[in-house]
Amino acid sequence: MVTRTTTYDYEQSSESGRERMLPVPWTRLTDTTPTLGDPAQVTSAVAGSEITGTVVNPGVVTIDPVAVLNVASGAIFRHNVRNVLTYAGGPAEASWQVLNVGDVVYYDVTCEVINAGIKLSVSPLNAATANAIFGNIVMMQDEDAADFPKGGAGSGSTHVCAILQA
Amino acid sequence: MVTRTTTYDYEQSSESDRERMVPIPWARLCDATPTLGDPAEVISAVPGTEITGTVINPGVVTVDAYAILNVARGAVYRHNVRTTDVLHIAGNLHEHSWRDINIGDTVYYSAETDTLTAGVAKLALTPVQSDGATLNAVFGHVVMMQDETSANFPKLAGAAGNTHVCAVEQE
Repeated sequence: MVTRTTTYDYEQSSESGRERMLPVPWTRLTDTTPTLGDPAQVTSAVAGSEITGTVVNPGVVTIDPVAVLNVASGAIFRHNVRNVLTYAGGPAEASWQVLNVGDVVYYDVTCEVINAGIKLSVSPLNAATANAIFGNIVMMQDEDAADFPKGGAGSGSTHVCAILQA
Repeated sequence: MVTRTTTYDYEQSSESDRERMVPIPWARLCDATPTLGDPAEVISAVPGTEITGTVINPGVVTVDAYAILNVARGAVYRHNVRTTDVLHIAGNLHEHSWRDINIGDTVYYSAETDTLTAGVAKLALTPVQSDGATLNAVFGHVVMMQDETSANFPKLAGAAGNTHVCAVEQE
């Protein structure tokens, strides 16, 4: 089990000038207490259509309760990813899949609640509503194909993965 | 019919510093024998959500079986695009209908088109596979090549399908 310790680590910086930094009020974040390097999602009226990105600056509430997110498509960050695919009532995890290069990952509030802050999973549905696509798994700079697949289809596990933001 | 000769030609370089190069194992590519300049798609567990991009370096298997893809949104490359609108699986896999290609049209990575054209075209206008249900991933949109004008459009569907070289702005 990967601990809650942030995985904050920018994976790809060889090409500059391509980031997209957005200030977002804490009150419009799905997680209103943002953490540096965590995945983040901005609340939207339409489930599955949310802005997603990585917290570059969580902000300081006594000064200005605004976080800065990097929402650049194609930016790559290391994040914790849960291999949960579906949920049962409770909610509880019902099924899982292995994680492989190319797999799509979602911002998953149910996963965050169940797994002490792990915000990304491979589950496209949050109960009955759609989860927003966060990105796809790619290799970390210190990985190769032999590091995949991660996890097993028979049980839940959390893995650090490089995520190419959607 | 456009031949298999690669169309590799970067179409737009006026704005630099915006490429996204990602190494992908050949085993995770839909076409496990990548070709320089071809469109590429990375396998995903959910059809329609795949990473797509253009092969910048196909890699050398005896050294390292990885390809480098440029997955930058907005990058523009010349690619072969098939006019296929609908594919059918009844009997053998075949093209059922076609339509003209125009500026702005969405193009998809179609592994079935790759098969039908023997690798000439991996991109087509068809949003779903021949089963009528499985989604193709959006690859990008047709824009003008640097040596084209609006008079070059539409590019004709053809009575039995056509393959056209198009500038495609990556999604």
